[in-house]
Amino acid sequence: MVDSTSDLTAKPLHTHTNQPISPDGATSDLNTASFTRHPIQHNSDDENGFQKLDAEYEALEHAPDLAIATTTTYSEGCLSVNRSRRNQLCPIYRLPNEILAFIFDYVGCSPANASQPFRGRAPWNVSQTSKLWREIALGTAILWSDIVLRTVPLAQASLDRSKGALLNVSQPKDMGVAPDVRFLQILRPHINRCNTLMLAGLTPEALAYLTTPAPRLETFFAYLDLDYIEDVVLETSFALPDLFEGHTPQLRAILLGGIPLSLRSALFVGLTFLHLANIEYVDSSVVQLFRNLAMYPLLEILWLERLLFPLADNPNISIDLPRLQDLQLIPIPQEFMRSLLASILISPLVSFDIRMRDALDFHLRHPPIVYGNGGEPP
Amino acid sequence: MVNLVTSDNESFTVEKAVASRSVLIKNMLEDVGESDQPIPLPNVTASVLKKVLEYCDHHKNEPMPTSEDLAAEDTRKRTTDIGEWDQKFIQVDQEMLFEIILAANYLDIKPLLDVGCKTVANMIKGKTPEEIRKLFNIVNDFTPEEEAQIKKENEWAEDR
Repeated sequence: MVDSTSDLTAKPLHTHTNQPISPDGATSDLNTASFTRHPIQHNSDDENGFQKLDAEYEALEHAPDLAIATTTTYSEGCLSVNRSRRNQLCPIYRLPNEILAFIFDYVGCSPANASQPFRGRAPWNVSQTSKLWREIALGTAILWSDIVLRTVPLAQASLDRSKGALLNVSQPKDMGVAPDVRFLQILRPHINRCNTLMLAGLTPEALAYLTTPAPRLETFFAYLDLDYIEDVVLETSFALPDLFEGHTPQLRAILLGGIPLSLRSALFVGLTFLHLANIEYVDSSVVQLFRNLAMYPLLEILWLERLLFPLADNPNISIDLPRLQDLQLIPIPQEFMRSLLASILISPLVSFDIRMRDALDFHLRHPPIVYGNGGEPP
Repeated sequence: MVNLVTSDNESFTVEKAVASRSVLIKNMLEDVGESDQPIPLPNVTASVLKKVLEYCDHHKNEPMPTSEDLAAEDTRKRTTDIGEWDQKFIQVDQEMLFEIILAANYLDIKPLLDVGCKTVANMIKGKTPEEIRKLFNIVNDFTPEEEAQIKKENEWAEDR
């Protein structure tokens, strides 16, 4: 009798390629000593063969999934094309793309648009309606140029989609929180194409992002984050950066609330709207303010609110403001108000709204207002 | 008087002041001078031209918009307010509304084009994409990839 087991132990099993079989599996309970004495050998051809077949197995195993995915993608593409072709039959699809873009622009131009819930707000709503409308909306830069700082990704997407269009950037009135510095970080490279900037709740640190030239800026409204409406910010309380490097050749409207920009700044040139509020000037004098005002023959609106100046002589400067329509002096020191009213020369069409701390004796305290052409008050 | 012939071969005889609300017709009249030749309007049907002429007749005494007026509109301080008469005039079904817009564009009648576009804009204002689709019988033709991008945009709105 031939003891097959001893034969096996004496001569390790060989494959058809004359290579020993691995000791794992069915042969694992054989005398392993013999395998130790004759270590298993693999050549690289075999390794490649295993890998190739394993890869093939894996591919075959996933083939049904791949086939389903491919068919699904294809059929979804066909469905999309079918739906697009159906849309082509809709009456509104007869309008050329440029007219649709014109309509989309009108959809977004209403002031109420900014307060709509996101899904009803233009241009987002029209860009999510259909393939063609999305293509038109994304290809019309001006639709994305009115940017309301709500969330960083939305603001970033609008900045990207607005391409080179002039920007009108503002904060929603209902937000009531300081704009995130991240907004100003992403806005900084686009300051050069800002037409309007309306920012509330700023911090002194945030102002550091507004230091690049703004050659297209026409309106700049900025409020510092104040605890109380009556707070005033001292001119020397923090080092204000050189806003826009002083380069704002088209700036016509400024509102600075609690931002003590020196009245010698190049920003205070050629204005038609000036609103200064909650500032106590130390270095800038009332004389400088009067000189500035005297250089604004086109000034239409002047609001001075909670402003304090160092004691100074009467500026004694005549300020001719023939276009002035609206003057608001919301409580400012008596002496300042008195000399301002004595200095300005206005048109009879001016509409006055003067508020003071103690309005009872206004006529006793203040000189009569001078009307430009000697006419009657309105 | 000016004779206008529509695409469906209908003839309309109107005052020159009415026809000249269209910059296209005004230029044609200036080019050909005094002539009895009918002016063909191959892109406008009779039913649409009738409405357009109704508009032109009502506004015939108003000054034509100047290039300054058009430039002022570019400042984007526009509104979608529509005058009372124009609002009533433009109360037509959607098909007619779009045809009027197309005719105003072809005939170069900017104020009428504005009235039409503002009307459509007012219909869209404040509506969600689903509501807009329903209003104009549009279907959602986005691919799943595009839908995913739109979903992401909607999530951006919630982001802080």
